[in-house]
Amino acid sequence: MPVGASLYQEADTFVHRLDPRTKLFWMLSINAGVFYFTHPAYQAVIMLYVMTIAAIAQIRARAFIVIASFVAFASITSMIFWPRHVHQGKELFTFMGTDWTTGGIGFGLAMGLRVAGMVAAGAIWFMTTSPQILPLSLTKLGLPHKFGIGLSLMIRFVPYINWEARTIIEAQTSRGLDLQQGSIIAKLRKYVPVFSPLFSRMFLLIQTLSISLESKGFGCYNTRTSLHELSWHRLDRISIAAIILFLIIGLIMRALGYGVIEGGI
Amino acid sequence: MPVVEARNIRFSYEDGPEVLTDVSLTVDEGEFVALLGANGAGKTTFAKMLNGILQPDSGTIRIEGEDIIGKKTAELASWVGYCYQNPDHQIFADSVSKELKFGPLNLGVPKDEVERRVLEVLDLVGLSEHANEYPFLLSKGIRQKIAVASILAMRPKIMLIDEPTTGMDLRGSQSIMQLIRKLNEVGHTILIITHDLKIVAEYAQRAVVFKDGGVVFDGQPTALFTQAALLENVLGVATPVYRLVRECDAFWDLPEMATVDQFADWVNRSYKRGA
Amino acid sequence: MGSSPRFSNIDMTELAIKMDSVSFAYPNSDGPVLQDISLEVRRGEFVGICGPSGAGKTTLALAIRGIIPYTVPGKMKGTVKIFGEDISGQVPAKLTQVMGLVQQDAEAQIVGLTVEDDMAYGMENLLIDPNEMRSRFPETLKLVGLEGYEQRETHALSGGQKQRLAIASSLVIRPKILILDEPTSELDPIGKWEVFRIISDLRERRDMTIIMVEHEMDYLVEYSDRLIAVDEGKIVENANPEQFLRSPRVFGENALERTPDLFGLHLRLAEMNLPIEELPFFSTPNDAQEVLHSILYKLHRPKDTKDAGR
Repeated sequence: MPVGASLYQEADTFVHRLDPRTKLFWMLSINAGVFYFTHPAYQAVIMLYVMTIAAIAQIRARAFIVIASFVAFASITSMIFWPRHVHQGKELFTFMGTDWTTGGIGFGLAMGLRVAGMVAAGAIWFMTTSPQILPLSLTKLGLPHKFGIGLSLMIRFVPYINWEARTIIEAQTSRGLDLQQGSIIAKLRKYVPVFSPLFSRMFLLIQTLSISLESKGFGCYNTRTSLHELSWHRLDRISIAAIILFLIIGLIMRALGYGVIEGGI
Repeated sequence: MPVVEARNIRFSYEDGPEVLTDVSLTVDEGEFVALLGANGAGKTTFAKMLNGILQPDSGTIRIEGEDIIGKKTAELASWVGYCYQNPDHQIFADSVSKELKFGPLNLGVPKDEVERRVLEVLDLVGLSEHANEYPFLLSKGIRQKIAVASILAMRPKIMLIDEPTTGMDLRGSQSIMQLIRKLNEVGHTILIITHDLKIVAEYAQRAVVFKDGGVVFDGQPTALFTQAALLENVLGVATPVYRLVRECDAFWDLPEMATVDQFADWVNRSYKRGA
Repeated sequence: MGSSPRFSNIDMTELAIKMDSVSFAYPNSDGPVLQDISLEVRRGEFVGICGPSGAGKTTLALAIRGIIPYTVPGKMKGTVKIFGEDISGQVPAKLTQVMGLVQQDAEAQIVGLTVEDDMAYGMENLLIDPNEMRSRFPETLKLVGLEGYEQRETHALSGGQKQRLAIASSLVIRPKILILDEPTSELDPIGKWEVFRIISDLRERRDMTIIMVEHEMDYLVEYSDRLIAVDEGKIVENANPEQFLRSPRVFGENALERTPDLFGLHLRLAEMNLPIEELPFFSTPNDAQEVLHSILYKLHRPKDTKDAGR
C-alpha cells in the first residue's frame, strides 16, 4: 500500500507472501535461465511461465498490457535485427539486401523474448515487494544501510520532487514561458528556467535532509534494529528448492542439445 | 469597467468534491484586495483561474472586459501577473537584471524596451544596487522583491501576490508590504493571498474571505474584524483579543472584537460614558 | 509574576544547556554568524528564541544540537555543554537520545513512506526493539493529534500534519531536550496553533527542556519561561516575558519582532487615564481578564445573573 514512486501493487497472493529475497532469487534465476536457450519455442515457454507467475500475483491488467507491449516491441525489433547476422535453417525470402532465414527470424524472436523475460521478471519483483521492506531485504543480504536508506529516500521523495517541478513550471509559465511551442532544441533551452530552480531546491533539500538524518541518529551504531521483519517460511524453502530444480533441469536439457535453434548456436 | 470580473465560478478536481461553489468577484482598477481563508478553502484555486493555470468547470472570467477562459497561461502573463509564494520557485538567472528580463522577453517585448523596463522596475522596487548580483546570495526578503519585480516588468494589469509575508520576519514583512503599497499608490491593482490578519488590517482596503469553496465575506477589513467569530470559524484560530473577549464573556456583554484597537477604543468609550 | 519561574517542575540546580562564549563562522564567509554567545538553560525550562532573519538563530539551534560544527563545518570557538558534558567533537548522531531537533521544512524531515516507518527510523538507529517501538506509537501519536495514523502514507499528509509527524518522530525517542527551529513559519494559522498546542501540552506534562525559535510572539510570551532575542549574531535580550516585553531593543524603534497583541493592549490601556493606580502586567487572555475585571467593573454593567461571587 505505501506507494511513493514504487511500482508496488498490494494483493494477498502466495507470491506476495514470499520473502523478498526469495523473489530476488527467482528473478535472478530467470535472468540466468533465459540464456540457456536460443530456440524461440523454449524462450516462449519461459515467458509463459513468467506471465503465469504475474497472473498468480494478480498483477493489474494495465501492468500486464505494458509488459505485453514491451514483449511485443522487443520481439519485433529483434526479429528485424538478427536475420541480418544469423543465416540458418531454411531460406525464406530476400528483402532489403538480407536473406531472411527461419533460423535468423527464430533466433531474433528468441533474443527478444530473452530481454523481455529479464525485464518482466524484474518488474514482477518490484510489483510484488513493498517498498517498506525492499531496502530491508537488500540490507539483510549485505548491502550497507546507507544504500538501503538511499533507495527508500528516492522512493519517498519522488512524488515531492514531482510536485516541486510542477509548481516551478506553473510559476515560470505565469511569467510567459511557453513550454509547448518550438523545436526540440528550443524546448530544451526553455527548460533551463525549470531545471535550475529545481536543482537548487533539491540541493537545499539534501542539505536539510542530511541534518535530519544526523539528528535522527543515522550511523549512531554499526548496526540497527528494524520495525519490520522478514519472515522466512517453509513456502520460501520450497520455492527456492523448486527454482534450483528448474535451473538444473534447464542445464541438463541444454547439455543434451535441446532448445537450440536449427543449425546450432 | 472593472479590471477583474469573475462570475459563478464552479470547479472540482477530477473525481473530487467541489472546490469552488459559485464564486463571483469583481475588482476595480487600483483596488488593494486581500484574499483570505484556510488552506483548502478555495482562495488559491480561484487565483489560479485568473491566469489560466486552472480552468473553471462553469462560469465566466473577464479581465478588462475580455473573456479569458480557455486562454493559455503564457499568454495571460501580461494580463495577470502571478507572483508565486516561494521566490526560489522562480529565480534561476545569474543576475538580478537577467531575472527581470525573463518575463518581458517571453512576452516578445523588444530588447531595448526590455532594458528600459528593467531599469525602471529596479528603481521602483529599490534594487538598483543589486542589478548585477547573483540572486541566490541575497537575503530572502530581497529575493521576494526580485520575484515581485520580475512580474512587474511584464506590466500586467493586475498583480496577484501569493502569501508575500509567510515565513518572513517582521522587517522583511514590512519591507515587502511597503513595496506592495507603493505599487498600489502608483496605480497597480493588487490582489494578495494571505493568512496574516495584521497586514490585512494595515494594508488592504478590501478583504474577501473564502470558506468551503465560497465567499463568506467581501468588504472592508474593519468590518471583518467586528465579526471575530466568523474570523475564528474561517481561519480556525481566534485572535488573542477575541480570546480575551470570550474570557470576559462569563461576566460582561462585550461586543465581538478581534483587534487591539477595537478593544482599547471600546474601553475608552465605556470610560467616557461612565465618567 | 516577577522573576521566579512559572512552573514548579524546573530543577533549578541542573543546567541542561550551557554555552560559553560561542562564536561561529561559516567557511569562506565575511564574518562570524554567532559572536560570543553565552547562555544557560535549566532543566525543564521553556526558552523562546526570536530575532530577525539572518541573526543566527538557526545557527544557534544547530550549535546546541551539535550539528554545528560537525555536520555543518566552520570555525567554532567556545564550548557547548549538555547536562554538564562538553559536546565538541561528539558525533551528533550519538546525541540523539538526549536532544531532538525539529526544523522549519517539514518535508525534509520525513524519511519514512508511512507514519510508523518515519517514527521508527530514529528508534531503529538507536537499536530499540521493534515491540518497544510499536508500544510507543499510540501515546506519541496522541500527543500530536495523529491517533490511528500509523499506516498513512506520508506524502499524502497536509503541511501541518507533516510537521506534527516530524515532532512525533523526535518525541518518540524520548529526548531530554527538544529544539524547534521555526517549526510553524510555513504553516497556516490552524497548523501553527496545532503545533503550539502540542508544545504547550508537552510543557505541562513532562520533564523536557524546550528551546523554540519562533516569530509568533503572542505564543512565546504566553508560554515560555524565558525569552532570548538574537540580532546580528549576539544575544541582545535574555529575560522573563514581563521584562522581555518592556525591552526597547526588541520592541522599540527598529523593533526586532511584532509586539504581541495583549501586551499592545496593555500599553494602550496604560496610556489612558483609567481610574486605577497601576495596571498589572498580563500576557495571557486569562490574566488579562482578571486584570481588566476591576477596570470593567467601574466602567460597565456586568451581566446581572453572572456577577455573583465577585
